[in-house]
Amino acid sequence: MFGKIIQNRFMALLVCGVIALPVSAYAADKTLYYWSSYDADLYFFLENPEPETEARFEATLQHIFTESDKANRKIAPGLLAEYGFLLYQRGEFDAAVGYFERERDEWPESSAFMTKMIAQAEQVASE
Amino acid sequence: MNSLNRKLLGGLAALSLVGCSSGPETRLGDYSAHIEASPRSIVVAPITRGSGGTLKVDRYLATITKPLAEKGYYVTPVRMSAELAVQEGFDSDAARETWGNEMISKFGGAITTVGDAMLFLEPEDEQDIQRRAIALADYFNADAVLFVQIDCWDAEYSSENKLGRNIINPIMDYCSDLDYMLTDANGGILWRAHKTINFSKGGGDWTIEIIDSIKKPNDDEIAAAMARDVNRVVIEGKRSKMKGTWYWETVKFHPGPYYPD
Repeated sequence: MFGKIIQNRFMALLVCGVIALPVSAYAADKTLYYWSSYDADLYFFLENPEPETEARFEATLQHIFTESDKANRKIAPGLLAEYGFLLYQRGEFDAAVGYFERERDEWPESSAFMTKMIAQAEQVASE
Repeated sequence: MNSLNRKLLGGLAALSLVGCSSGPETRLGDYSAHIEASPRSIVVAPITRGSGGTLKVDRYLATITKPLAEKGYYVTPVRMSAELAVQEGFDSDAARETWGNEMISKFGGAITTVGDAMLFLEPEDEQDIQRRAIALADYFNADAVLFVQIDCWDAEYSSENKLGRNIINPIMDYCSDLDYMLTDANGGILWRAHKTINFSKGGGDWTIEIIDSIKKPNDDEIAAAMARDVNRVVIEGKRSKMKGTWYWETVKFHPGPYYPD
């Protein structure tokens, strides 16, 4: 009896989970922005800065940008710049500038800082 | 009371005595200065660690953007800011103008290396806090600077798998001793909070996402979940479902310009 109740509850949870999963990013998401696993993946990257954790963090950022664009949702503050800085550190200065510009366009508060980073990236790229 | 808190309180007393231009005295739980200043953007200073701590606290940065952004603020990219702050040593033109050459050696001395990580030492006094705030706000062009210091952050637990669900059993108390301070671009204190969190056996919010995960969580995932919950609770003032297991008063963080009406 007790086992059956647990089993039924477990099945109900499973069914609900399967139905809810594809729409959970937006339907149940009452946040201002779409975050996916941003904080967890940045946490792992900061704790253990290896190519694997960097790739995971980068993939999550790309996923957030894609999904936010698809849903016509504003990308959370700092994330475009964070991605641009990853590119900057890898020496991909032109691509980095593109993301710094997007951050500046999305968030006027970042304008002065991003303008400084763009100038810095362009200077390093030209050397 | 930990050492930073003592220093912050000492700093407040000193600021009120000398009539410094760093803003009004701010008590714990007082939001008036924060509301009056109405900052739009916040840069998070590199996380500092109390002298008694052993934790590498830089990873804690990962947990701070979401609660602040969801409260309606522009948050300067945290990893980028921390790396640049280390590279620059907070050496900015405005800070140089204010503090002269002394500032450069001060900030040079404020950075230390632990293993492979660069860490900022806890602020020495109220002037040190002001220097850092001025330099960071100037370099990142932010309206406000958030300082966070962690003195204790630990837990022991066991995990088991039952019916495909992961159950986390806290064994020892989980404690987190955090000091938060928000300053304006001139180092004037806008808001402060000190939180000591104790977590007793019995479960709480931080276990939920672990239990809901399909695969068995590893230690890193559990630690990350705990870190996220600490900030969510402190910044948003959300209470645990387990009444009586958390020992702090609810804290509100005043909403910013992008917070929905």
